[in-house]
Amino acid sequence: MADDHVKGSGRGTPPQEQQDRHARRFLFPRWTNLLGPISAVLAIGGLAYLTVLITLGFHPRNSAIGYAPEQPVPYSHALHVGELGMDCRYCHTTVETAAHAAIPPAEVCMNCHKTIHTESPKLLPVREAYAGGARLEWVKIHDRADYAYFDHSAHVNAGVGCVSCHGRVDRMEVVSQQEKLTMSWCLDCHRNPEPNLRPVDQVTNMEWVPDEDPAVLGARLRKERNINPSTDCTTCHR
Amino acid sequence: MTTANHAKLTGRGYWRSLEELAQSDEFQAQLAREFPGGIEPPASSVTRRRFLQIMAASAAMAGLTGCRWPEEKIVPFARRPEGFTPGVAQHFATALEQGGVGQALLATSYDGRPIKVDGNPDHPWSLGAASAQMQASVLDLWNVDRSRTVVRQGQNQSVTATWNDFAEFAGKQFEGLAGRRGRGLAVLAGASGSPSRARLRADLQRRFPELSWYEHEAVSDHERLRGAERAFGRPLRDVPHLEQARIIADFDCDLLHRHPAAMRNARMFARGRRPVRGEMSRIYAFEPTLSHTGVVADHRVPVARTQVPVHLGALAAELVAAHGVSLPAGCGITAGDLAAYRGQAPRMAELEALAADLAANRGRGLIAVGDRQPAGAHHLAHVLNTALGNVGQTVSFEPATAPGNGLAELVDALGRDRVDTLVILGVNPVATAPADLDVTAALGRARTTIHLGEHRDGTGKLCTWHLPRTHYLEAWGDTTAADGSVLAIQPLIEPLYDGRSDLELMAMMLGAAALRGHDIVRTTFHQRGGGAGEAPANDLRFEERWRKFLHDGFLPGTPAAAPVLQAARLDLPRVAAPTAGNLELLIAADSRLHDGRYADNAWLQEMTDFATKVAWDNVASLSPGTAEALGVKHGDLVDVQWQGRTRRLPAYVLPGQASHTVVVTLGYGRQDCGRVGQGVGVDVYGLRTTAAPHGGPGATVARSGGTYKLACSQDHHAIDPTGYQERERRVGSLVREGDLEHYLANPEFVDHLGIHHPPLLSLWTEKEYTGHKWGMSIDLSLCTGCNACQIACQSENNIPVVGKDEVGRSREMHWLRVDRYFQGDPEDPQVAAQPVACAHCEMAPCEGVCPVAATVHTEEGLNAMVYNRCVGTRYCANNCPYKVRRFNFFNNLDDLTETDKMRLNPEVTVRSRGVMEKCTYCVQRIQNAKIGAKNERRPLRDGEITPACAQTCPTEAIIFGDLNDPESRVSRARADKRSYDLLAYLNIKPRTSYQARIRNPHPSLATHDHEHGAHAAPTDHPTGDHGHDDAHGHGGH
Repeated sequence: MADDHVKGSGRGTPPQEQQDRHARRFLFPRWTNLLGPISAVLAIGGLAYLTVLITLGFHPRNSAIGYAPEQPVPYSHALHVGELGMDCRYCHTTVETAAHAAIPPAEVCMNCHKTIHTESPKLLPVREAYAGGARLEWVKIHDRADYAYFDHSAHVNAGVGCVSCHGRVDRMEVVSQQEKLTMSWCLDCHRNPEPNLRPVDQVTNMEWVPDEDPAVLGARLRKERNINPSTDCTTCHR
Repeated sequence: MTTANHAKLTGRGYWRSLEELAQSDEFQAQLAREFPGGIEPPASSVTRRRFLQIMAASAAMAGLTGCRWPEEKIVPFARRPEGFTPGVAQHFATALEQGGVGQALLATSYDGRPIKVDGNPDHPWSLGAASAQMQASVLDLWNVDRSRTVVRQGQNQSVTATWNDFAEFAGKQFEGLAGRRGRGLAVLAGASGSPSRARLRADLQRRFPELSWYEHEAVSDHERLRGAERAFGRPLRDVPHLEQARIIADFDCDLLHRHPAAMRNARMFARGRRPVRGEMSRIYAFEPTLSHTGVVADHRVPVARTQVPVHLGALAAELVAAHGVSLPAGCGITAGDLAAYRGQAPRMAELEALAADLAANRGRGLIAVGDRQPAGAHHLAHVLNTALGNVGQTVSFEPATAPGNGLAELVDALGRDRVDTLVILGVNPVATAPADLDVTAALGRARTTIHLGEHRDGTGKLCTWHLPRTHYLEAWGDTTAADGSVLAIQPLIEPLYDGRSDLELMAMMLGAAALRGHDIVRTTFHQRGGGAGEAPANDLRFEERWRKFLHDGFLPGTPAAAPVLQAARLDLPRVAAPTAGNLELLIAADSRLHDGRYADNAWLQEMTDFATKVAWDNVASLSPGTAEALGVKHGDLVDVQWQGRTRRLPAYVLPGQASHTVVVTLGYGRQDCGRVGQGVGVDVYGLRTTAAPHGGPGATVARSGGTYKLACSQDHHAIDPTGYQERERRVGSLVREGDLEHYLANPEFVDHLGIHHPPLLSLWTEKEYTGHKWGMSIDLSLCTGCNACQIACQSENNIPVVGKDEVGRSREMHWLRVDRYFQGDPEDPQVAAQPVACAHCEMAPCEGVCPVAATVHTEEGLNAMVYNRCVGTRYCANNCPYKVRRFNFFNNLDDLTETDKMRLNPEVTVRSRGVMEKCTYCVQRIQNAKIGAKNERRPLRDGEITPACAQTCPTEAIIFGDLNDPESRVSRARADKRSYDLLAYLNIKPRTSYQARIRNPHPSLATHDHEHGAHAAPTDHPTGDHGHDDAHGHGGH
């Protein structure tokens, strides 16, 4: 290598010029002086950008909380549950036995509305569906990703109240999402379920408050019912 | 490969393919590469893979309505059906007809969509087992290429029409025919055991007294029925009771797979093959090519099809002459008739042993003969079974209908212009006719041809009317099972494509167009119960029986009286044995596509044949010696010529096939089906004749020049590619085998078959599993290699189909593969099958190398795959010693049509491109069972959780359960002395273990080259310095 170089340089290049070229090879060009200020601007700008991105990205307004789409029938949980005192399970019949709490069929509405508000225009879609017309298309509010498998029955039978995830539905004219329903939110409870445990017979009671220290009660219920929620991936992802 | 090579290699232990045995350059090259197929997809690979994507353009446009994910709708019922819970699978008993025999099934419906088919566990002849074909039949329902509308052949072109158009036409047409007493009316149908069809047929005969009825099954059991007719004077189906049999002689019958009662046979066979009690049944198989019964047989003798009767004759002669078995008086066969066969078989040793066994186990033996054997062989088997006192013990009989007129008679009648109106019920004679029948021309001679079919296939396109037919999961019907019980066929969904069933079309012919399948079947049920006329609408007692029928899925049959032998002379055809100059052709039903009816089924197309391990093709298989004599190599294109007709197929050199035979399989090369099966493989119907549907002697095979690339999975996922020599000696430790005698004398032998290693120490503190500890055990003594587990897994876990090119690159996605190993002489090898899926190692090597923790361990010891974390490095697959991880190189399922999506199991996540996947032990079933038990506040019961593979396994070879429960079946299986772990010396602690295969050879034949079981493999290798003695000293193995 070195020999080649000498041979090559010996082919008529003056030694002085050669030395200059060697020296110049190790000098940064002038424009590189700008790199310093540019990196500083980028660093400050990037930091600001990240701050804005994270702040806005995690702002509640951009999470699903508060999502309250318009439904085909202006059904009021505040009226039916809050005022009339209906139990959740009158309509959501499968909540204790199946993964889905199940939106009730029109038939369930008509159990009462055959005799109450029979002419109400608000109920027209229900009557039509019941009569075999266009079916009711409710908009899903609590919509997990399809690869997350949630089972209502497992939670209800463990004594997790409806209110823990769905909020005070009995006060909602229009149902909206109250919790984040993100994986970290699920895991918070799976890691420490005690604050959300209650006697199984109080699961649907929206107004239940513990008679004793909630921490003591939670710990006791957990022990009694041997509740050890798993945090394995396969618990929810299949 | 030379003979010298063969001789040198014979008895060397295990091998999976002849390339491997001969250490060919290709195999060496494949081992050297990380991705055997190369990693760049060539342009052509897209074509077949695209077949499902092409139709998905509309689906892809949905969504993108905002930053939130797409709005989802919940559409509840207006009135929810009683007992229905949204999102909870329901199960309905139904049945599938194959060749006129019903198979009891249990179909799973998820929110009204049939997504899976299993065996009906309540039916005594299914016991929850279902073959790969039965399970894959659910995919046919969702086939997007099914016929959707009525098509009428106009003057020059076909016109789309409606059922009303047809009803109008049919009303007039059949009215007119009734006026002529049905002169000129013919019906062509498949074989069926449906009582309703029999009833409507009788009604048709009343309305049209001159109606002629033809039945066509490309793969029929007519010889079986004729054989019984010859023996007993009436057509009967033999029903084996393998639980009673200690000696089973299978003459080209494939009792455990092709036989109509195969599901029960397999389960009952398994009962006699657990060596714990020290007693095992013994199976002898004489067969032209490798069958699933041959895989588990203790003695398997390759015999050309035409030579099987001679072997049976030689057995009979041996029984009579050497063991003093007296033939029943008045049976028409004398000892003198048989004398001519004495010693006529080339391999008498097995026959002599079999004769001795049968004579010593009177009433506990069974001789079974297959459908492709002549009636005379069936006759002799019945005589021998009677003489040995086996009838009524190991075999009983169920009445069947005698074979009537077939396709040949129909073509003849059409040729004589005796048929004016032909109705074709669900069969496709154009594609499945033998070469000597010109169905196409014959169909043109009838004025009106009406075709009812699931596809507008070759026949449908020629007919004046094509009518869409319902899939069996859409239609009401009934059928008869192998044991004579009546099975209900009930729909799980309204017809997707405006189809009608055979029964409904027959009702239209009777002038009752409005009559629906439900009412027809109900009325048949009513009349079967002794009622007259229509089924009553509101008779509670009837309703109760009817509901029970639908719930159970069957009505038990009444056992038929034992038949009495009648006199008939011996008729064993003696055909010259095939020689090198006189090859014998065998045209067989395909193990995947049967007669071609499943040609459009992507699961079955992608499932490899157990013997050849080839997917997406049929081959001409030859034994190694025959191929060598012909100068044919694996993958060469050959011209198979028989009786002046030639077909060009790729050659496959199959160890264990009978010498001087060439085997081709039916059902491929369809040009008239949907996109999946179109043009896949080679159609060999053109080699068949009516007189010789199975082929015969006088065939020639010649290289045509050129080779063909087969998608053959047999060398895929070779374990330990880095150290092939090491693997060679380890393979004896992968599949461990031994003889019963050896096992009883030394039950510990299984441990000694493994690699001897010093005591295994762990570098880490190992985890204690205190809760559940899931594990699996697979009994290799019971595995027949039937692939049912593979399709069960595919169906349960939404496993995509990738197409031939991808399979050729080792990119098949099956979570569970069935390895098959040959051992010994390539002309007459022993075969073993071994299902391999993720073993959920406690010290999983895949987990440590994942840079993103996408594969992690759960508290119960499952090796979980977190799809969302996976970035597709594939390090895990590289580090997996079992090679069970599968990578999604493409979006295999993302772009399905809306119809196709309906067949997916919603309990299992659909994986996307760039994601690794593998067996989960059916974690969805584990979770759902756990939730169910918790909700009921009780502990899980053993057996409550069954992965899909274990659920369907016909022999119950796969057991799953909790290893922390010492009483669980899986714990007991693992405590068995036969239990061993694959590659245990890696100290990875797999949760799936295997039970060594125990063979039960006849003592006089037990001198096989592996006298001490497969002990030879690890100890006899030349470089045996691996701490053998040390290990013995430590006792740490």
